Amino acid sequence: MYVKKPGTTMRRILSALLPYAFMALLIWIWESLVGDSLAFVLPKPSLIAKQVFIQFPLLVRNMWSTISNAVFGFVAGSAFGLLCAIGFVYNATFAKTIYPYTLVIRSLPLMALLPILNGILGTGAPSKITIVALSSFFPVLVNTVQGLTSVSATTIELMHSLNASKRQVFWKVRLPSSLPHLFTGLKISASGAILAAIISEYMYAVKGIGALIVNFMFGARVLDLWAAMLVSALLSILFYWAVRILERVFIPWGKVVRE
Amino acid sequence: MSSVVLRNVSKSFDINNESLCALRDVSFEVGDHEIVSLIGPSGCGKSTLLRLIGGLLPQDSGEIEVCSLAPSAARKRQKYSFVFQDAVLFPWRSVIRNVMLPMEINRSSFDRSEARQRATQMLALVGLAGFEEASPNQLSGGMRHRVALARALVMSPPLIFMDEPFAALDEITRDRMNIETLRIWNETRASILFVTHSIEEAVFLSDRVLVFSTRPGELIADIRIDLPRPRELELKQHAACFKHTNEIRQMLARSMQKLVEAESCACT
Repeated sequence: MYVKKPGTTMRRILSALLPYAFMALLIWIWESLVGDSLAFVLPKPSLIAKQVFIQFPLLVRNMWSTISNAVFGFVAGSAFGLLCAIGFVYNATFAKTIYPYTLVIRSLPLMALLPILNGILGTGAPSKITIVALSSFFPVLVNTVQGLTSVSATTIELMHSLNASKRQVFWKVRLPSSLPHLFTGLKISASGAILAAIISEYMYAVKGIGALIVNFMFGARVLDLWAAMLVSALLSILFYWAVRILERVFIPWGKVVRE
Repeated sequence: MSSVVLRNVSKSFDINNESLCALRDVSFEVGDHEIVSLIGPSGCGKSTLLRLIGGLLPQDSGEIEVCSLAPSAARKRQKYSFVFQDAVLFPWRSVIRNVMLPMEINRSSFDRSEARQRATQMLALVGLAGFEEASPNQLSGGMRHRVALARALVMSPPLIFMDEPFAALDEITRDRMNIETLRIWNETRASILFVTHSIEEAVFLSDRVLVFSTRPGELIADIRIDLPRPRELELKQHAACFKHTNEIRQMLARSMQKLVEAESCACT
């Protein structure tokens, strides 16, 4: 039987609190060190928090289009990455022809693509969603390819000896065993999706956190910039956590391993 | 009737454009309800041989019959099943759904509740009643191999191929799995073709031990183990058992010695 060691619960609570304590410490140092000379570019955290509160209606009003562009782009890019990965694993010619060029998509400066996409797709949501999709595509692709090909030779032999068709091998083995890798890709993409959505709003955007940031930049409204940054950071963290929760739902067996 | 017949089977592999002879001119038979072990130094092609018989690899020459069928036909009718060194269980499936996998893949005549019932019986047979809904990740190494065994038995194949199934287990667990294998064999009446590195294990389990030389793998002896059945672990300390293990050990040593001499001749 498992005997609980004394103090374990206490230690667990303390270790869970550790990152928050660290953040509190950083904020406290920041708060107490900011002098008058830097106050314009580096305002006290308390002032930033206050600014978020003041600008809350404006930030919230602009948040929704950023979130929806990020979510749609993330879903589209990830789905495309997943499909490409499956194509690569099952068709060597397709993989050989296309795979080297997927790296190009990763290395494109998204800012430079903006005017081009705006010219092709118009200045509405489609061009912005495309930017996010381009940034989400590659991490999902690479990780899923890795996952789909990580099935052991013995596993394939077992399936072969059981008379399994290629289709059965895919649905019963390759896809489920690639899920942990797929989610690694999804988490990387999710953490960058809000950022990509904000970049997509730098041009021709009338709303969105990105459009706000451009406005604040040109108005030299530093406090508002900090408030917008704080909100975008929080959104990215929320997005990442949403995918992590999905991961737990889709890979319940992963939890057993972690324990 | 023999469940496996091999006549003059050879197999070579191309490695770096060089043809490497893995098996040369191997012939033997495995009778019904017989346990036959294949033993030999590593790299002698024992596992390759098992894959040829299972139709997972094609032989270069010679004939193989499994239950009077070609290996691939025997596979399509699920006349045999495999147990590997790794249990190969899927963590996204519960224990019972791992055992049901062969029935699912072959869309057997069982409906779902019958399949479930059959899998439950097999788990009981291997001593895992009550673990149906557990996750494979929660099981010990020995228990995982029991699940693999249940999965191999679920289609009631007349023949089971075991490729160093217990090599990764500790000795105590291994001894227990040997006893379990004999008990299950006795209940199912299947023939077993068993690849192992352990001379003691081969002697303890088998009716016959086939000894292979190092590469190219050739059958150098077919030794009948005339120990009484049912066998208990105590038998491993028995003089008759030692006699067989010593005989095989010397045979393997001689074949290695020849290899060393051949190599030193080639050098001078």
